[in-house]
Amino acid sequence: MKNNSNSLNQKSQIVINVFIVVTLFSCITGCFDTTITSVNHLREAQVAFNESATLENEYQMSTLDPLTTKEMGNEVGNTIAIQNGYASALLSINKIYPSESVQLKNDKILGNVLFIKAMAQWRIGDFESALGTADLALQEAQDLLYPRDTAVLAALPGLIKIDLAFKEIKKMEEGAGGDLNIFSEIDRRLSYKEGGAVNDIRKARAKVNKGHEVNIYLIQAQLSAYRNYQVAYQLSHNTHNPPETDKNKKEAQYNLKDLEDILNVFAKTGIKNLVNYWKSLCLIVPDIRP
Amino acid sequence: MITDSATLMLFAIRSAVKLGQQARIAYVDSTRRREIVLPLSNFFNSSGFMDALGYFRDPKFGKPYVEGGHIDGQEYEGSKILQNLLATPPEKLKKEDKEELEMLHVKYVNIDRAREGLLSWEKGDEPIISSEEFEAFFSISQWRSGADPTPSALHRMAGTFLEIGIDYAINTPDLFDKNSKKGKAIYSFLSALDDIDFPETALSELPARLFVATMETVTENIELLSGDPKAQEFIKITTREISTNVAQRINDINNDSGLDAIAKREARLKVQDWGELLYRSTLSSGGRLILSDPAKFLSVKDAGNQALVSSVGNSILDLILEDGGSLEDVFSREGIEVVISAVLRTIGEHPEILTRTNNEGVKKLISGLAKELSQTDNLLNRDIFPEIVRLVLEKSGENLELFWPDLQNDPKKNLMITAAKTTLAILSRKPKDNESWKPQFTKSDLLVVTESVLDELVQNPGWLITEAGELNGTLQAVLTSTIDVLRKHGTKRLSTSVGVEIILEALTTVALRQEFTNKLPNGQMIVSAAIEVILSRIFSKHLDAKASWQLLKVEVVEGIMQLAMERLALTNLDQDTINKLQECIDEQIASIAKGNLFSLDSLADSLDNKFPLT
Repeated sequence: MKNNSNSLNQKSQIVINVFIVVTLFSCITGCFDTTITSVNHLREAQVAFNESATLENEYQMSTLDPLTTKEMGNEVGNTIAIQNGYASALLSINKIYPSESVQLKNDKILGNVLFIKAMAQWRIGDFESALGTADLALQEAQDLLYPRDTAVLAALPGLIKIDLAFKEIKKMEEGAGGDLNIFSEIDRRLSYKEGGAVNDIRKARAKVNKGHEVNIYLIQAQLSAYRNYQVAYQLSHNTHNPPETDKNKKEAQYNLKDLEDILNVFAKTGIKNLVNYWKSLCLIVPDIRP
Repeated sequence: MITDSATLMLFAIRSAVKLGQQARIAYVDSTRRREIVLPLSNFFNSSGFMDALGYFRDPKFGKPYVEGGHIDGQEYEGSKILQNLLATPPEKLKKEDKEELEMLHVKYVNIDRAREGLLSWEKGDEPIISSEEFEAFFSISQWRSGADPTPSALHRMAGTFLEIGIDYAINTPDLFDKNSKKGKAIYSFLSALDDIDFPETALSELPARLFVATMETVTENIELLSGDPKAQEFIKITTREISTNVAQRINDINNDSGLDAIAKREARLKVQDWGELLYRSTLSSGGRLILSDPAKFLSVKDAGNQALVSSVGNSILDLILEDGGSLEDVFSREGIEVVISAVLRTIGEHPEILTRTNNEGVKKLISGLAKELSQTDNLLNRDIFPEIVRLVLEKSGENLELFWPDLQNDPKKNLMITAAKTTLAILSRKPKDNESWKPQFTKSDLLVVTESVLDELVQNPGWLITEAGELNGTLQAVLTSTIDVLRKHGTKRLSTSVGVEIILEALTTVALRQEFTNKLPNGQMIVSAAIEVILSRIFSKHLDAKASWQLLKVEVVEGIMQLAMERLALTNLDQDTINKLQECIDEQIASIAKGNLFSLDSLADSLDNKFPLT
């Protein structure tokens, strides 16, 4: 077998290799030229978004030690780099949406596109556009929104409320402290009750399986809401922390326990440190939900 | 088995089209499921003095440190400083009081952490967790594990493999029967690919190319069809390691911002071409060898714990792709197979070549050899280079400590390389205008001489290596003087093969007695003087026609040379020896001129008379 077909096999082997490469190259470039570009732009947007989000999270809490972390507002240079990344993600998205909507739908990535767009708009501070894009995603791409994106877009109103509250509380810090009306408004925005950020995110969590990894993110978002509430409370209650009977505090403690549990499910390293970070920062301890 | 080129082509086209469509879909799928880093909203992420107050006021946190009490079974005394600070209304605390409070907060939180085992005194200022661990908390995938409804890239390609396989199986039915020997081999290939997490890049046609390569190669190499589990493991390991290497390279190319789209495509194709070539070569050349001793070749691990066979394949692939592309032109399919076999054999005997050099030994040796040979015209080509690599490796393995003395620190420093380079440079030297013999040594001529030199080095290292462990000048002197004599006295009637035999004879002769390298009063080495006596007589323009007829035959020249050298080895090896040899040859020529028949026996008798044995 080997002797008879050796020379033919060698020759045909070269022919096959060249042909597969050339033909496949032609097929792929022929197919890709017009339609893969849109996918590539989405990938570019994802990369730019991820880079900025990574930076942002690192500056916020990468030391996992609230006693040594500086607040982001002081790091102006880093803020510019982060904003540029989000802007770049939006630029990439704008190249394909709405112009390539049909192709994006056919490829079933319209939901991904609108997700990145909404998130990038949120992070550059264009809250109205972000909420508009989230609504559009539900209208135009409802069947094309997948679990993670669905949950996070549902949480977006709550995430924005946390940002708005942060801005208001910063003003309190700057001398408007002690005004209980302001505190009341912040409480309403951040609360576990209907209309509050913690509640918005709780509803978003209900849209995905309890074992979905996105819960790690969403629970921390809820804890960040509590943190802002806590600072507002301190400023308006003569430095005192929310008492044990405070329902927002209780909810935060249940959420901290949820975080501990889900981190154990995913067996990520550094679980204790992450849980301890929120514990130290918010002065709460994990508690089992009744 | 498909044997018709046209049918093969059509099959390839159909396969390529199917793969192209599937590759695109797989690319889109991977984009959809890609992990996204989710940023948190803005929040107060650092603790200030209000938090310090809160900490020391809370009985679950720092209050026991203020008033005294128990925490986790440990008793703490109260702190007067803290008591004073906390007793002061916050609005009346001075700046330095707030700072002190914050410092005490840090101190007692660290005590808490130490008690909970969250502080490592050994780590010092290192971050609590690595950046990768931190990023993992926020890098979120689209679906939870096991719930992804879209087929993975491999599953999608597997569907196409199935279609291609069906086409192929029409002609080779037992190829896909898992119980058949061929089927087991293909199964090993597919199960290896299943383990690979192909990066999220523009999916290449690599898996399909390797699939076709596997189908073709296993049918050409019977040992891979033995059904032996070790054969299957070999296919699996080779597939996995080379595919992973190539896939990672493709990923790096795609992420290289210095390349434009066209350059990236070309780079990807190059990597895949070489990857496929290495894959085929490893399966072909490695199969028989590895199955002869699977325990050795499949279980020996390199520094990075790859199996030996895959480490070798990847080393050569890395070498070809990394060395600025300088070695691309010197490796053909056959050449790579030669090198892989040699490398596997040598490293199988001496795994320390990999382990002590952190896998760099083979790469550095080959690139070092290439560099040396590149200094001589026409030596760095695909005809000769792989064979030289083979020779150097195999002979080095005969005495690793001697020939590769500084393996760990300087792997490219190898005495066999020096000897090979010396030999080839001398043989390849361009003839001068006044030299009569201008041979064109073939590849096999060069290899025969080089191998002989390296063998002598193995058998008799003493006469070639100094006390310091380096090559002395003897080898160079012997070869140079021998070639010089050949070039001076040889004519067109002296074929290169005879010339090669004479060179080999010179080497063997010197190995008999080191005194052959001694010099005569005129400065000439005795061995080359002896050769010169014989050649100058036999190839003389004035040689009698009858003598010329009888003596200028390949077997006669070789016989005379061998006989004379063996006989001379028993003498005093001085000028008198050379003179007597000359007399002997002249007498033989005179005898032939008178009409007598020449024979090696008569020459032997004549030599015995001139050099009587004592």
